[in-house]
Amino acid sequence: MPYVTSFERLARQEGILQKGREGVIEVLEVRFEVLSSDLIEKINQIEDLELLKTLHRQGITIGSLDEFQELLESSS
Amino acid sequence: MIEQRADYDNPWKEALSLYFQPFMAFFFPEIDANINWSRGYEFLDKEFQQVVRDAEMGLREADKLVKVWRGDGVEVWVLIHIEIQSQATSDFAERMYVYNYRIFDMYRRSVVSLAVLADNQYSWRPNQYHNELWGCEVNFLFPTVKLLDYQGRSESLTEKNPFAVIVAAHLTTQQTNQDPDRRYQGKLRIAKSLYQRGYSRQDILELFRLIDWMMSLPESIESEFKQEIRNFEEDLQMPYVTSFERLARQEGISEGILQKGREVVIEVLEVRFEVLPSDLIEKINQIEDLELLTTLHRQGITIGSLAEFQELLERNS
Repeated sequence: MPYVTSFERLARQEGILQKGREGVIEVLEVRFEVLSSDLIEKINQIEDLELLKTLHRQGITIGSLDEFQELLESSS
Repeated sequence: MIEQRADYDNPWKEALSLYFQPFMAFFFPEIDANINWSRGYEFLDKEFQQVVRDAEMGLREADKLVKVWRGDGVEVWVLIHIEIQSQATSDFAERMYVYNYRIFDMYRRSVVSLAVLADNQYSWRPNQYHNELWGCEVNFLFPTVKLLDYQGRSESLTEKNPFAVIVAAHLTTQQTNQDPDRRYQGKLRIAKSLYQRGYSRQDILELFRLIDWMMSLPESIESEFKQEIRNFEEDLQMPYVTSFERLARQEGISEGILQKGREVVIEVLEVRFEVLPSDLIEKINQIEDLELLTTLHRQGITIGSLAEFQELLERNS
């Protein structure tokens, strides 16, 4: 078994979280262009990887930014 | 309470590879004095693998076969065996005998077999294999050391041998199987002792890595441990682990970003086109370029078909 330092393991989680948030924001930007800074801030505070995954998937098909914000409210 | 998983074999094996001479000096000083270290030594991993394969007794990670030279110039092979669990004494002694004989049989070398008894049962001290019938007798004796006997020496801060640290880590891990808080305290004490024993920067890093490996903690208190070490290093102005940590951290974050960067591309395509060919997934998982992944992610959201996406991917790789 190769040794991965616990530093590295924890840091990897951080990287995954960081990119997970970016992924959600990118989807919304490509689809709805301008996002409110308030929404970006909310997404950047999410610590739950599963939630980010759901938001990313939903963001790809959701009808409007309002609907997305509702989804976000109901999930947090 | 969930038992804290601990890995003993791998850290021991690495410690043996890194610090073989100190190992002999710590546990077998009389043998150490008889070895001409200036001629070097050689790990016979391939030769040992062959023996283990033939003996069909299962590979033990922490066994090491080593070639050394005696003071008078004669070549000697030494087999080091680290036994983590106590077991039926007869099985163990027999195994020591079989390996010794196997190596002789295969390579016609006499072998000095040494055992480190790293279990937690004080009275378990096998040191011979004996067999006798009708005047025919086999009597195989082998030197052993018992880690439990080294508790005091391992805790002495004047003891510079790296195996003092390994033993301290081993015994503390063993004694705290059910108690992560006590293991945390012990790990902190041992890690801090590295800076007080007069080790070089390199040795501090190696030993830190080995004890961190052996003395695994639940993640919640692991980060607390790391913070304590950072503060401690700052006070001492010896930022060894801290600077190593910074590198490992950067590396870890980059790896995490890359991993998730690939995942989001695949997710977008899955949501939009459902089934993806496995070779497309494989191709995406081989991308190392973060910029390209961002482009693919953005394009994937609006692109008309999977075929178009594959074209885009071809053009960019």
